[in-house]
Amino acid sequence: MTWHLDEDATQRYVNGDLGAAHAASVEAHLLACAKCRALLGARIDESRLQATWTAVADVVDQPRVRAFERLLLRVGVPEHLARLVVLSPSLRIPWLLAVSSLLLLSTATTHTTAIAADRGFFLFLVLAPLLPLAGIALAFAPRADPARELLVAAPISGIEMLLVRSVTVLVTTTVLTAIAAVAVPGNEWSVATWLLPALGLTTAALAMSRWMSASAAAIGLGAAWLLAASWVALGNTTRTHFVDSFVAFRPAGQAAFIVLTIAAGVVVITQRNAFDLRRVT
Amino acid sequence: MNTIELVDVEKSYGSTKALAGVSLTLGTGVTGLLGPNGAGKTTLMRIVATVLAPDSGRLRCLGADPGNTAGRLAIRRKLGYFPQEPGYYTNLSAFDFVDYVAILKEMTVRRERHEEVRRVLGAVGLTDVMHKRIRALSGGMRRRVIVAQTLLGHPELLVLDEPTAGLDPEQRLRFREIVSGIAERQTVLLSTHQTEDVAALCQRVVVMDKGRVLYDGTPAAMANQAQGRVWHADEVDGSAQLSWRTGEGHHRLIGDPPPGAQLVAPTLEDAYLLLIGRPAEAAHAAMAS
Repeated sequence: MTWHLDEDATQRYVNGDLGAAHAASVEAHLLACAKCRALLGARIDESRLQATWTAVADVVDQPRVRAFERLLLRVGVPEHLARLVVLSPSLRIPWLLAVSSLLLLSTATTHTTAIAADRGFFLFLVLAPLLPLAGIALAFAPRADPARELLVAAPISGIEMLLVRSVTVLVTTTVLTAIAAVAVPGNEWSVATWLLPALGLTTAALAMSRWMSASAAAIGLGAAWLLAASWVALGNTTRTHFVDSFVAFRPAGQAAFIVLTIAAGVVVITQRNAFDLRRVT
Repeated sequence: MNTIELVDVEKSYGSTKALAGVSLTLGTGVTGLLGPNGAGKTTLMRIVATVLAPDSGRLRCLGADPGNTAGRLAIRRKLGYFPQEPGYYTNLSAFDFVDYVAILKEMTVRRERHEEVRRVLGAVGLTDVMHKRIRALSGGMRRRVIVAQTLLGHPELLVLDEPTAGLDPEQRLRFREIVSGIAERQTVLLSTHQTEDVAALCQRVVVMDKGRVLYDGTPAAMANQAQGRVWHADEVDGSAQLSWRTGEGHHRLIGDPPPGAQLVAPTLEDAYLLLIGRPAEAAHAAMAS
């Protein structure tokens, strides 16, 4: 050992103003010199040491960031919300596969004979708004969330959790449906008429969760939508133009869903502090 | 200062009365909640943890009223909760699961949150396995993951519903160390079937049965209630209220001893069995389960 830390070098190292090269030399020396380690150890600021260790642990013990989480972060979703989306059970692979399969099947029927294609197109438009409702019903179904008790006893606001899960299923089903819609023959505007019913029914389900479970609200609205569509289909004696026979897909119906979306949105905003996870889940 | 105040709290499920007018005040320290299955312990714990609303009665926790939204929020911000049947996302790692609960507990700054997650996982001895998926952890380790999430944010009130169920003796000892370490300034409500946990940890014990409080006092005073009412004999005595054969081959009897009986020092479990007054085998089996 040819040298040891002197008073000046020790103090400058402790203050953090020794310079990178000199500090690296000191650290190499400290590995081999117990005397200097003891000298420095007595002087080092405990909180600085803790902060350094925390910074090291933060890099070494970083949890795995999933691809979807990276995507959310890239589009500007706050870190904690992105984490909540990927960690909470609102998105499940079997669910996404089921949605994709249904869309694939209904899209395939639009490529058959004229009458069957008309029915297939109607089926596609009726099915699309049901998908986000089914996603909400699943995300908030009784016993669907194994950690429900921990969720309910946590201070996170009911509306925040409701929105995180609902927006996640709405966005994913909308993207999948939009992709499927591209494969539907014809480029008329009617191929997009599922969008407003999907938005209106989903927002209405959120608003109704103020007074009942989100799952029950989604199932109730989905059943009502399906009943109305079935009524129209069964009452259609011409066996063609199913889409035109359902008011929901005509301009008046589309306008009604815009009104429903706005009204439900107002309820969600004005009642935002009254959503209780004991009832929602 | 009282942390929890319950006055005449009632709760029913259909025609079954789970709580039949429970009144209690709890302060700092560990309070053990003992009682057979169906006594109403879990219902009481869930009400205190704001997961369930009572049908009637008055309740205040940490100075707030859980009957309104603001009160529930105030309580939840200071609460650590271990439910009776804790659910896990088994495809997540222990770190991710506790991180998820930390976000639910409004810890939104990533670095601080991750530091806290590492702290609580370290406190329960799971640092080495924190990035393993929960499905790959043993039953005892999984329960420690749930214990870890209760410690997030240094809660003032811990509601622990049978946290030691399924833990081996070493893990239970570790759990006792953790709880005794945090109970000096905090209020811990601990429901358990293990009288040893109560004797080792609790300054106070509350015994419930059929939705009512049967006993409320110190563990020592409760054990003392069985003084002079526990004896050993080679044969079962008809005067015994309860009895069972011990591993040493003799019978332990509880009740009014006959003259000349070989009295022994009572345990908390003896006092509990006397209090509950169930047939010995059934009660003892329930305690052991």
